[in-house]
Amino acid sequence: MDPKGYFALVLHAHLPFVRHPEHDRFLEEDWFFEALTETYLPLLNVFEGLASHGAHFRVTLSLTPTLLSMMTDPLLQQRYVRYLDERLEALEGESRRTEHDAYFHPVVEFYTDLYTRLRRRFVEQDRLDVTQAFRRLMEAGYLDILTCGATHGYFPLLAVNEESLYAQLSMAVRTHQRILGRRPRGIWLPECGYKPGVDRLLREFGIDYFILDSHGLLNADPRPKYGVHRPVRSPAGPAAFARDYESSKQVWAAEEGYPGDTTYREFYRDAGFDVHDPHITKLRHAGIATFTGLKYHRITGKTAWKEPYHPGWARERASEHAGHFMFNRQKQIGWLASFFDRPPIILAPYDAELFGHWWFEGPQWIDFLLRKIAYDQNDIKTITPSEYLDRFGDLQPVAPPECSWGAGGFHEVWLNGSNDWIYPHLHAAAERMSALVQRFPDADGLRRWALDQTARELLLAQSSDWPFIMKTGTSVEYAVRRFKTHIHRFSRIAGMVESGHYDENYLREVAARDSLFPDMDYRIFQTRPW
Amino acid sequence: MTTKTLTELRALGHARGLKGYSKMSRRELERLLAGSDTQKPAAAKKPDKTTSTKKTSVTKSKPARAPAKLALTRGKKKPAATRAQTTAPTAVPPTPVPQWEWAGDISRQSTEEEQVESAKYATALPGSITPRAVVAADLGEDIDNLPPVTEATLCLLPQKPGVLHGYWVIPPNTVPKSKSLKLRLGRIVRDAFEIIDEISLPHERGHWYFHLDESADTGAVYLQLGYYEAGGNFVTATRRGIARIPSLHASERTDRLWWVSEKQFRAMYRRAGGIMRAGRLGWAASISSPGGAVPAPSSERLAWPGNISSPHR
Repeated sequence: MDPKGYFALVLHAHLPFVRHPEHDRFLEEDWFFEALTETYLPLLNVFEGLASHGAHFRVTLSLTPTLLSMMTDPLLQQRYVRYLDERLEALEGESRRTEHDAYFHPVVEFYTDLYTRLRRRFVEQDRLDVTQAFRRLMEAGYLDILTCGATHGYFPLLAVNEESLYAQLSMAVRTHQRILGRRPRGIWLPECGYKPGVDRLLREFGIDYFILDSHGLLNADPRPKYGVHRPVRSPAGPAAFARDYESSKQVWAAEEGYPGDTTYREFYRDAGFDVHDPHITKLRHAGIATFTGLKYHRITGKTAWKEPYHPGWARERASEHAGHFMFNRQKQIGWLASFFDRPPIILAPYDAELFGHWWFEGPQWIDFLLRKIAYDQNDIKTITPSEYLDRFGDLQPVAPPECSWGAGGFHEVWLNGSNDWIYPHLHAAAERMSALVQRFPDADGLRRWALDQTARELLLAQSSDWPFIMKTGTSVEYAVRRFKTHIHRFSRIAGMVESGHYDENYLREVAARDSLFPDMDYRIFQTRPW
Repeated sequence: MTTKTLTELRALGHARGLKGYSKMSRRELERLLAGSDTQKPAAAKKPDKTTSTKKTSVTKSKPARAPAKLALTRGKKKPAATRAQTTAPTAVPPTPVPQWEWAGDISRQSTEEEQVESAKYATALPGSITPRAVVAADLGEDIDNLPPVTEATLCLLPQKPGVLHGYWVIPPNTVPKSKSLKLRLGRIVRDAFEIIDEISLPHERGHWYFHLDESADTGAVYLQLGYYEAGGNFVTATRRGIARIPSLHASERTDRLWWVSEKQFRAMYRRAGGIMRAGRLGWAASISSPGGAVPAPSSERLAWPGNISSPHR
């Protein structure tokens, strides 16, 4: 029986490229390890569990090229095993410390079991490379994996130099194909940042669809007949899907969204700050307390007093919330289907790291939700945008406006008093890179090596994470430093190419550190005639 | 003052060199800034100040509202300025302009949603200083002295409806020293360049936020950089800098083949968080992620028919 409508869960998984081989351990590398532990591996467990039970489910997942690069990096893979081992060792100490504590000992045991299983999975099943597990799910048809900008560059503000957009897309598609074995059909535009004309570039790379925030469709010209509940055809051809406001709000909203439920795990109470015994202080970075991932409290309420976390209660709540969410989608689809002459689609995109890392029970919620949709009703069915386009390809042609999914819906998050200073550097560097490509269209040897590295440095500087972090105030110093470092390296190596005097030792050092995109071809920054 | 956000007020406090502004409440800041307003005439006597051509002795720096503003939708017409017609406004001494370096904590004010989104970058508790015992080794690189941009540059970027960001670089000796550089934001109206805003350039490099009416749908706007000749002609040193102001509104057009009734479209638009203002549908902007403010709760936005979808808790 055909459902009344479709539901597309879209998860955007992204982290900036953080890899510091020059240090034995590096604080910001924990971003990746924490996301692996709490988001990527748990999501894989959920998807594989559903597949093994034969449940019908479809999920759309973007894995950005920087994230794919880190997932396949041998140094980070080894360091992640160390990260897990250190926590398992700390948990032994925690087990002894809480031996007679009826409230916290079960939580410690819960983590011991969790980390043991994750380690076994990562080492024995994934053999340190989780990309292949995602790939298998994609090949089996459960996942539609999207690409993104190569380093998550924010298109609307980089579009001053179209070469930058071309380079971001070119390297992204290449990396996706190299690691996942096929060209991407869809793209998650970094920060959903769209500018008229981007659709033309997407078509050139064979991208069939992209995703916008709600107003990207609602403010399109002419008016979209089906609002955000059917894709449209952009002027250059690729389809545009848009975010459903209501389903986003139920999960995203800080106050009223599900993750704020008092039963769920509290993100900020962490043993790294609470426990001062040697087995925990060993996890500190150069003696400074930071997050360990071992969090023993539940949200409890807006009080400093936090009660012990109870995984079983939280799981029950996740199940209730999944039921509540599905019930509302059924109502929503029912309402839409009452006046649509084609099946509506509800597209619900979220940052993947919201699930698990911020909202610890998020992967469980997804598990319950997908099971309930598969077994408990017939109104809605999960689908991927690719499948939807294959089945219902008659799309209204409209021109989406410039937009993003950032605060306010435009570019203010990435262009304001805290970060506007980066753009003159970025634009000038792109001009210079483009000029180098024109001057040396067929470089080889040392020059080729240097030009490839300049392209890497520029792509890394273009990451939207740096201006975002500068704006939001988390790890600002690191973001500023990373941006400046890449611009400096770009400039220094570009200078070598221009002058013909190469510092090979420096080049080698930089290439060893900023080592992503081994198949780099600097000509991706080529200016093309239109 | 009351129309500004706390972030903008803090930025203004920073720009005016006020002390303790970052820890003040909105009301305290407004009082302090109002006090500093009264001192402006004295400040204007200092040698380096930017001013608009339409107001004198007003000192503002980014991201403060540019002093001269043309409210495009309110019918305030400024006489169209063509190269032949425009006369040179009085030259006013320039003000120092930030040199594209990290400006500390200007404009940084996280919403709760930003906190959620930025949790993946967290290394310390909110409000505490990020521990930085280990920093990236720099290979002896002097990253704090980035090479300056030296090529002639003029760039205009839209920030959001009503706000545009322009930056510029004029290489030394490209403009006669006797000439006062101007930055002009305008649009083409009946083959003539109509000025929306114009500022005296305080420096050979810098940036500026132009504020327009946020509901203005103006199409393409152009940024010009140049100077006035004695006869009033505007000589453009560089003209690159074109942007389109993003729109907050739904289109008024419907497609004949994909026709949608006003009632249906309005219902869908409003369920997506949009509102009607001055007879137009608009503001269906991002709910969050990253960093969006949650719209004020209203039963209409939260509920599906039958009031089923009220907040769960």
